[in-house]
Amino acid sequence: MTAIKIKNLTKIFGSFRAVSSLNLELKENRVLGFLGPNGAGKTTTLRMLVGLSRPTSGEISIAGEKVIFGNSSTNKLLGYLPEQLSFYNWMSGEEYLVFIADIFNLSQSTKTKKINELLELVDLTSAKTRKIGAYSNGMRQRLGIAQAIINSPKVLIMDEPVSALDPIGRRDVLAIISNLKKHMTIVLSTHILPDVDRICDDIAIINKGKLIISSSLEELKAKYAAQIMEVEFEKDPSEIMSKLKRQPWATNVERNSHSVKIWIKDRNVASKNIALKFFAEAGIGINNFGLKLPDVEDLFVSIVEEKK
Amino acid sequence: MSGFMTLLKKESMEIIRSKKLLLLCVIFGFVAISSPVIAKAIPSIFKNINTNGIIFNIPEPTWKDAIDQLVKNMSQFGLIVIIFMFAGSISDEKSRKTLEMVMTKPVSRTDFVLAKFVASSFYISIVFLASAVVFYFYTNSLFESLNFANYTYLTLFLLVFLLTIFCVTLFFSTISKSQIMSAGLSFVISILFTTVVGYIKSISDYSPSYVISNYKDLMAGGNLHLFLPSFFASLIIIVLLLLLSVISFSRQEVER
Repeated sequence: MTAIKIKNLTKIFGSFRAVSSLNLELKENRVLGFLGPNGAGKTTTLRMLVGLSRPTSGEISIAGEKVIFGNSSTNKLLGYLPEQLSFYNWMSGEEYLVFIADIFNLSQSTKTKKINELLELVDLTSAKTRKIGAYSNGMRQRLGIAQAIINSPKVLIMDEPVSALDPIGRRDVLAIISNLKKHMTIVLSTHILPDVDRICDDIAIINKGKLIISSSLEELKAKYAAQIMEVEFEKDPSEIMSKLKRQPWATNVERNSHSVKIWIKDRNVASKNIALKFFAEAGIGINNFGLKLPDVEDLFVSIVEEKK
Repeated sequence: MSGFMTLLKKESMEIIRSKKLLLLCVIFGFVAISSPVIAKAIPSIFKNINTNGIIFNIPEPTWKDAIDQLVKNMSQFGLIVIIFMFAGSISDEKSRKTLEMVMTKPVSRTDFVLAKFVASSFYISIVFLASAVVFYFYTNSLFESLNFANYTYLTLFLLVFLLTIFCVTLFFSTISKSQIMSAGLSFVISILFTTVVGYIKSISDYSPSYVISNYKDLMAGGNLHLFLPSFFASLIIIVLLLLLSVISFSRQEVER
């Protein structure tokens, strides 16, 4: 079943087109890494999804229900963790969760059980009676996750959930998100690309308000894996470098001491051993040879550069 | 618990914990006690001032002087306190971004504004009425008895005046991005209500501040019906401002 469907979504501020005819579909229980450079339109898109911002045109549906600005009914299906968390600092962590649980109209027994479970999950049981104003950034972020999933949402939307955290806070929050991915569809907007590698099933990249790619991470990696070849030579490869750069199958060559990274034109270069034949003819020995598995950072840079 | 009741509970907790309730009690209580005390003390204050032979002939104070002080203080202090205390009701939630967290939950925007109105009006009314009772008994202990019925009408009309000021403040808090902007706009409009409108003959009878300028007639047992146009006009203004606040808030995007 489709968890999120975005059709021709556009948002215009004055003369600035923040999001332009965006189309995107996400299936149930998948984790989408929603990526893009600063100002690409990620947060604007997410804010339209949760009803904070009114689309200029286009449609959004969550689990088949249409999102209508000003009508909060689809919010019962959603959990939202904004980039900038702002709580009522005069409440304790537990009081805030009770407040949110009451908004979702949870029964008394469900509410108590759920809040205790969530406080355990986000490791705030011992600090539950403390005022939120006295919480650290990491504690606020964990409380933010707890309030976002208190209604067991079908779709959880997280905008830069770990960007303000130290490495330990980041590790804790990522562990919580990893556990949640079994139970709900997650949209994760982040700048920290290694996190996407660890958690996401799909990625969508937007730039200047336009979707430039949307695919499963596996497919993307397979597609781009065949295009970078890493070779480690026995000796200094200086003498073959100029000849190598002139080869029609090498689109780009980068040298680092005895290692060379070659962007190859297509898969045939690897499968038909074209490169190996070239090195053999050049009479240079090879220690290591292989296709590089790109990480998300490589993918992101390659795709954004390619679509420019 | 329904969405409205949840929001109402939260508003009540906030008014109590943010010390707004305490501040209201202190200021309204101070006005209730100080008004008769100042009225009583004025002749002796003048008696003790060295006036270089000039003799002030100040008549013996009565409850009327206490009422003068009460109305003057409530129309000035009361107005300022309500504006500055509640100017941030909604604009603060925008600027502090707490609104963003709540508006992504299944919360009706109408309930959000109504909960603010009901909780704040309730506490303003309770504290004002309590201070009015304190004033009544304290004035009666210092002077001869106030007419209970006339004083009750005065209390009711003053309360409606203060609630009108609160609704003006709530409306500007809804359309403003900051507490300062909201307070400034509320102050200007409230001053228009209390001064300018009173000078325009054709509409002065409908001014929410009619009671401020004509309370002496009311306390003297004057015709009550003269105060009714202002009373009902104020109620209509309250309902209209509340409606405008709800409509305006429902159409607003929650800004980043």
